[in-house]
Amino acid sequence: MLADVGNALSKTRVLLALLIVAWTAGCGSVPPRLPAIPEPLQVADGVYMFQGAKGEVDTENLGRTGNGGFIVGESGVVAIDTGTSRQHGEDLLAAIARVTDKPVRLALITHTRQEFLFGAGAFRARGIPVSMHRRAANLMTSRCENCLKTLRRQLGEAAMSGTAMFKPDIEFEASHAIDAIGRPLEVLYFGHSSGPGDIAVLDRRSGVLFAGGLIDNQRIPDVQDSDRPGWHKALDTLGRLPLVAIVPGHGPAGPASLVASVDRYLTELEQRMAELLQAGVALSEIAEAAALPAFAHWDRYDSIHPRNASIVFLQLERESMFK
Amino acid sequence: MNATVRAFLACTLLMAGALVQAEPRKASPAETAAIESSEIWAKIQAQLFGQRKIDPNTDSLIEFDVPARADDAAVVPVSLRTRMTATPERFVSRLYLIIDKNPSPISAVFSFTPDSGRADIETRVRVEQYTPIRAIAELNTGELYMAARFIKASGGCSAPAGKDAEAALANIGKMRLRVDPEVRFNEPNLVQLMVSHPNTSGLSMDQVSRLYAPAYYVRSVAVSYGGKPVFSADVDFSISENPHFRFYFLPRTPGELKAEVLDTQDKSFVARLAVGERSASAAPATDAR
Repeated sequence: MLADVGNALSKTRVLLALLIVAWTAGCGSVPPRLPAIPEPLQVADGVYMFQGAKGEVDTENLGRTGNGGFIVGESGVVAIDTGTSRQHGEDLLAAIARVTDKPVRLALITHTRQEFLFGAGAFRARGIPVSMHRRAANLMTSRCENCLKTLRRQLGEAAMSGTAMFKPDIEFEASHAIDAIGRPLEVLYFGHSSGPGDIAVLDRRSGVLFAGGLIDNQRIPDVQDSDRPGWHKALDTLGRLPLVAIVPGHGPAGPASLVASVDRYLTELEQRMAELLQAGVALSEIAEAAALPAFAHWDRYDSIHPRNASIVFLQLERESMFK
Repeated sequence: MNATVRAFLACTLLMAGALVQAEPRKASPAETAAIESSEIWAKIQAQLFGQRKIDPNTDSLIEFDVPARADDAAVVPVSLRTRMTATPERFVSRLYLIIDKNPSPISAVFSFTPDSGRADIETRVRVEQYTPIRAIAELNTGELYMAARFIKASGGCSAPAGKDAEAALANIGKMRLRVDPEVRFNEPNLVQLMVSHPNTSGLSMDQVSRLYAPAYYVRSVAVSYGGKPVFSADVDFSISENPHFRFYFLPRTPGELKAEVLDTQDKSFVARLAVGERSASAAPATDAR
């Protein structure tokens, strides 16, 4: 498959200028006011992303903090991730309809986080099948009722109206090709990595990867659901793909080197926590002792990083008990 | 650990400590009201202490450190430090940890002796919902002091126990007892005790299987040095999976540190550690399993 990708890429013309627009749009310091219909950013010919808001969930950003996107083929569209709420899903579909009148054939959910999941109802209401990995679906069943409850409390009934738990129409186990829109797409599954059922979606024609939970850009990756060795391995595999651009789960689109930046964060986090564990530092002191200044400018450093630190510290501690 | 890392950590921790001291967190008016008007607490107070007077404003005696918001409600670090030099005549004999809105609010009762050196304890607890959390210090003289905080923690999006609980069950009773290899005689030395145990409450449902893991938890911990008690704890499932305790003991001569743990199935687990045999200064932290 890798060789195929390489061939496809060599024939590809990617709109670099537009890519730069996409990057800079994400780097602006002033958060743009959210339009009712989100503005798709073109990443490559027929490849678009929706960029989520920075920061914590609030009534201003309506919890729309995750990226999404879509790929337009000869005969239809595949949507990647579905947004935070039923209304968000509706808005994404409206935005897609402004770009193309081709029908949306499929919605893929990359991983189990509220900002990627709960718009699924809008797609399903139109008969668009929603597909996700079986383990991602299981994780959703096991805990997302609570996430939804919390979202309702944070955003209010109106913003979350019509949003409900759902069962995906398609559940799968492994990597597979998608041949639904006359444009070859690959769903890539690496085993338990950033999450138990996290996938990436590769558009072979452009070499653009939708990386879901596997890669964030300028934003602290969340280790909560991860298997770190599996994640490193997945990143290693991704690093060998001839990727032209990456649409991360959070943050602006970027070059293939995003793979390495996530790996670097994970490695430094692990090294630091191993040092603190060895030094006998108490859990109550971990959040303060965990500072990694090299990543302090990444979004959610103040909230996700201390939590990551505690999680990794406890995991290493447990490993040291059980080995 | 090499000297550079040690110095670096010391510095980081010192700075962290300074930050914490510079900005003590004030409870909001609503939180203060929740702390003061808790009906649950009124009942517990009557049950544990009867009519005895509790000095409610004792941050001078108890340094009670809990996160204002817990990232992981299943593992919330709680630290109680008493600012009092123990003498045989006057020392903190007990610390009670009360989490008002937990299913079993009396979460832990820790006992100390003059051989503890310092009545400090850090452990990790489960917190079911937004709740007042209290530390009550009881002196051997009968005096009672309380410090209270409000903690925001709830199940939320936290991952359910699964694989981890299975691993804990498979390794049940494995213990780790750790002290600094360079023991300092005649002053309090830190001990870390960790017990591999699922410590299940019987109250949490696996959302996929819709089954409840049965209640099975550590009931008591007793630690002695040279045959004399230095620390003990009566605990229940408010303590997190793989119960973890950090406390002090006051060694005067080389001896054996012994920890004995008893769970709700009357299984007993013991760890021993020889303290004070200075072999090599480069030896790693001493562990007993």
